[in-house]
Parts: sequence; C-alpha cells; structure tokens
Amino acid sequence: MDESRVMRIYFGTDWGCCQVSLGETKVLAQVSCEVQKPKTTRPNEGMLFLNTELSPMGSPHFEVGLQSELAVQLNRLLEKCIKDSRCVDLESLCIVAEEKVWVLRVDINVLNHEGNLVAAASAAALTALSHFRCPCVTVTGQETVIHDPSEKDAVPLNLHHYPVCVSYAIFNKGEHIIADPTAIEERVSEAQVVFGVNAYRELCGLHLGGSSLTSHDLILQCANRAARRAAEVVQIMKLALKEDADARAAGKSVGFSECIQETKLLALSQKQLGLQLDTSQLRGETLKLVQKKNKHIMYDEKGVKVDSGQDDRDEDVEVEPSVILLDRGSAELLPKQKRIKTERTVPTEAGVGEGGQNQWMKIEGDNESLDESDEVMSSPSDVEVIKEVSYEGNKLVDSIELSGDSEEEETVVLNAADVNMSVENTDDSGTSENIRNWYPVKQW
Amino acid sequence: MYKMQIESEEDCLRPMNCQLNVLSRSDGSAMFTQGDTAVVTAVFGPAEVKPQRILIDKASVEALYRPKTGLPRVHDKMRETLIRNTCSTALLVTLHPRTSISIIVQEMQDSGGLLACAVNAACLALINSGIAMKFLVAAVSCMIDHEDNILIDPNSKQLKGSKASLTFVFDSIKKNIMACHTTGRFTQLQYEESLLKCRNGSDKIFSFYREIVRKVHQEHDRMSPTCRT
Repeated sequence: MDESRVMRIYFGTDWGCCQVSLGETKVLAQVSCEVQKPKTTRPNEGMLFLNTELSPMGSPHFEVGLQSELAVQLNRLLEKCIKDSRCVDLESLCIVAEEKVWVLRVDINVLNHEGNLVAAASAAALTALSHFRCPCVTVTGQETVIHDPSEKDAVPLNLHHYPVCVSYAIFNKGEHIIADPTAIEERVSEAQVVFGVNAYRELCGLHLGGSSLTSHDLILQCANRAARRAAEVVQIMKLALKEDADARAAGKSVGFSECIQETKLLALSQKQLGLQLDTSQLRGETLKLVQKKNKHIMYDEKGVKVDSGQDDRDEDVEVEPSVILLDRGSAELLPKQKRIKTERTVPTEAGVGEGGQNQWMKIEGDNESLDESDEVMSSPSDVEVIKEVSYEGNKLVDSIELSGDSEEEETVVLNAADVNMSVENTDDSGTSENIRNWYPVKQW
Repeated sequence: MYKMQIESEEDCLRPMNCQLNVLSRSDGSAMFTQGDTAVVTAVFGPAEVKPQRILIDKASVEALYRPKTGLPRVHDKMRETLIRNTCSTALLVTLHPRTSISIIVQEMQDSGGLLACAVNAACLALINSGIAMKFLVAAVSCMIDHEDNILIDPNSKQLKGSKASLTFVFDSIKKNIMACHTTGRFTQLQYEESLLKCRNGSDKIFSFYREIVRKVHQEHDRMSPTCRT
C-alpha cells in the first residue's frame, strides 16, 4: 500500500528550472521573477503565482486553453498547499515597501500524465522554488539597482518548510487503498484523497474527492502514512538539490542534456561536429554564384524559367544545369550530383556515412533513358532543351517529388527493401559494391 | 569508433543529444538537445480531428509551441507556423485523410538556436511515431556578427553580438530549402554563404538521424534473430 514509483529530479541550466519524473509522469517547472507594485493590503510582501498548464503533450485528451476540471483542481490544490501554507518567505521578497516587490511566478507544465500529477507537480514546484535564485538588488536612496547574476551572485529564496502532496486512491468503499496511483488506477478508483504534508508532519492541505464513504480512522491512517512519504520526498528533493549545487560548484556541465541516458537504446549523443569547410574557396564560390544568378536567367519558348547555377550544393559540386523533361509544359532543372566531399563520420563496421552516392537508379545518357521511370515522358516538343540531359542521380525519387500530389508513391528514405531493389536495378558501373548497407538486408 | 576531423576554423555544430520515446502517452516523442538548448516534442496522430479542422483529402497537421514561462506570444506563434508548414510538407498527409496529426513542442532550455532545435526535435518525434514521411527535415541556424563573420549554430552568448540571425530548414533528399527565417540585415552574398554553410551542416544532422535509427534497428535485429531470413 505504501509503494510509490521512483521519483527522479533533473535540473536545467537556468536557476529555478527542474523536471520531476514520478514513474512515467513527467512535470516541468520553471520559476521566474519580476518587480511589481505590491498589493495595498500587504505592502511589505512579495507575491507568488502558480500556473499549472496541462499541455496537450501530456495526454491525448488535454486541450489547449480549455481549463478542464482536472486543471482547475490541480491548480487549486497546489495553491492551497504552497501559497496558502505560506511556505515561501514573502517578506524577504520586498525591495521597497509599498513600491517595489518581487513577484514570483511558477509555471508548471505537465509533459506526461501517467497518474498522480499532484504529487509530481508539488515536488516540481517546491524543488524549482528551492533551486531558484533571485537577482541581487541594492537600494540607494531613490534608486534601486538590480544586479546581473554575472556581477553579483543571485540570492536563493527562503523556504520555511516543504509541503509535499501525497495522494491515495480508494477502492471498494475503503477496503483497498493504494498510494501513488497510476493513470489507470485513478480512473477506476472510487475516490482520491490528497494530503499536503510537510516534513514536520504538519497538514497543509487536504482534499477528498470521489464517491466513496470512508471512516475517519481510515483517513487518519492514510495521513500517518502520508507524513512518512512526505518526509521521504523531501529527502529526495534535498539530495537532488545538493547534487546539483555540487555539480555547479565543481564547474561540471549541468542541464537537461545530462538527463538523457545515453546507455538507453533510444538515446544517442554526438559531441563536437566540425564542418569541413574551406572558407576562402567558399567565398569565391558564393561570389560566382551571386553574379551568375543576377546575369543568367534564361527562358525557353513556353516561358518556363530555366535558371543556371540556381541549385547550388557545396563548393565541391559542379553546378552544371541539366534539364529533365517530364510532361508537356513542365521541366525540372537538376544539377549534376557529384560526390560531395564532406568529412565522413564513419564507424568502422557497416558502411554508414553521409549517404553515399545514390545508387538507386543510374541513368546514363540523355532523354531516351528516362523512359524507365514511372512518369510519363511525353515527347518534349514544347519545352526547349538548353542543355543536354546527362546526370546521375536519384531519378526515381526526384520524379516522384515533382509529380505534385502523387504522394501515394512513398519515398521512404530508410527502407531496406528499396536498397535491395536498387541493387538489382543499378546499372553496373563498377560502383555497385558501394551498396548502402546501413541496414542489414532483410527479406520480408 | 567515430572518426572526427575538425580541420578548418571553428565551424562546428554544438553537441547533439537525443532520446526517443521519452513520453509514454504520446505516439512519438523525442527529447533533443543542441548544446544547452533543450526541447521535448510529442506527436499524436493520426487521431480524431475536430469538425472545424477536418480536411477530406489529407490529414490536418497542427503544431503547438509552448514556452517555459508565461503564455505563448507572437514569436511562439511564428515558430508554430514554421513547424506546421515544414512538417505538413514532409509528412505524407494524403495517406490519412480526415485525421489530425498534432506536433507539440515544449521548450526546456533556451540557449540560442531554439527554432532549429524545435524543428529537429519535431522530425525526431515524427520518426519515432512512425507516421509516413516523404523525407526528413533538418534545421540549422547561423548568425552574422558585426565583423561580418558567419557563425554556425551559435549559443545565446554569441547571439548577443549578432547583427543578423538566419535559420534554414532543409529536406533530406535534395537539400532544398524548406523554410527560412531571418532577423536583421545582411547582404545577398552573406545570405548565400550562410546558406551553403548551413546546408553543409544539415548533412551532420541527417547522419545523426540515421545513426539513431540504425542503433534501434540493430538492437531489434540482435534481440529477435528469428526475423532474419
């Protein structure tokens, strides 16, 4: 009954930014501050605003803008627990009484809803508040100077206590109670009870919702357990905060890139990716291209504009234009695709590289060979050919691209079957051993 | 295992990290970081569409960009438009008529190049979701500083001294420009040069995509040898 999912806390590079994941439930919190005039009823205190956003990313039935019942409930619970319990020392946020105070704003975004949002959100909000640093302010007579964090160290907030929310789901009229319900458990439960407890076993918020009749000792029992759980959560939070502080003091890199677990299957990271560029040649090329562009704009008899040098690749590529005739009244210009000499980040096993020479359909020569394609190559009587067609390229793919809306012919770049097919179709010109085999060849 | 040669000047992309399938409720998701800029994206689709958005011949693509603090503003809406246009061109929308495909981007850390990071993360999430695409997209950002140097993939510190910033989005097949967003002033020559440099950089991103897909598929093959014939 007391089992809760694992809670993990990650911090971002900004102060006051943290992400809490409770099992699969993920919540992101960010604290920001602003100087404003205080309330007239409380001229010596700063203000704290909590905003909970149920992002559509969290669940398919979350919508933008529409404040659903769940959103309102969550917001209200957190406000009760964090604002009304006065856990943040608001008086320390005062700069000039009755004139300027710090207004804190905590934005909580739900990234993934897999149950027990209130616990994750409260933990995220409290951790973010503890992590946040307010810029240092000096008041000299009439002037107030807000110092940049690079000039003067920012000041952390003062939190008296940490009221964490712990929730339980009740089934069968109180017979079964489970802690930290998942999304499915929440939906089939009869009632939910949420306790806002801090580490000193003080109750800061209580919410009982649903349609279940329970006895009072059940609630008391739950409250006891909640107090224990709250102490655990506060421990986890403090530990995470300490680790982050140590990492920052040691100058180690912090931020969400650290929370991507590289050992996992679906994760990948790549460090410095240098681009091999010869800048002087690059400048020369660009100059040439710009001049060319402004001079040579050719038109043929049907008014189809044929630009030369328009499709430029890298500096290593010759930009000889070549016209492909597709249909009556339409033509497409493709440059000769030479082997692009960029640096190869090639692992030594399979031939994974920059994509290699396109091996799909090798067409040598001129217009006659274009009959092989799926497109209808009607006689080019209406489009004047300026340059002879001779290109090697991904012709199959190109022709599909240009045919407008015939997207039924999918161009799936990552497809093993296509690699197989292209191997058979390829005009053997001595390069067939360079098969792009970054997939193991599979027969389906 | 990987040979990296950083030959010429400091032209390099920031280190990239990504993790796919981070969110359990969405059909596809990715957390992607470029340097210190981090973004998490989720894709839902093809799913039921609201009657006012229904399109009878294709899927209705919707993009949502949420900033970390505050309500979405004008430049967030601009990012949404760019992502939506890019993705609806890249996706095979006519395969799923009368459905909706939603792409939701959440900013996690902003250290420069956020638009490019968001587009790349959206592409990764679409790869993870398995919705058919015509090609992949990669975005590269660059800036022109006051000494007319062109810097690829700048971080926020470098961006403070910029007079123009450009973001280009390329497709994976012909490396054509799919989208382009610029701020500031620059000459035509500078534009051409940035375009060439960014196009070069997009190759890196495409090979990064290939790597992660290859990694997943290698594991699948390793774990289920009966599939292999």
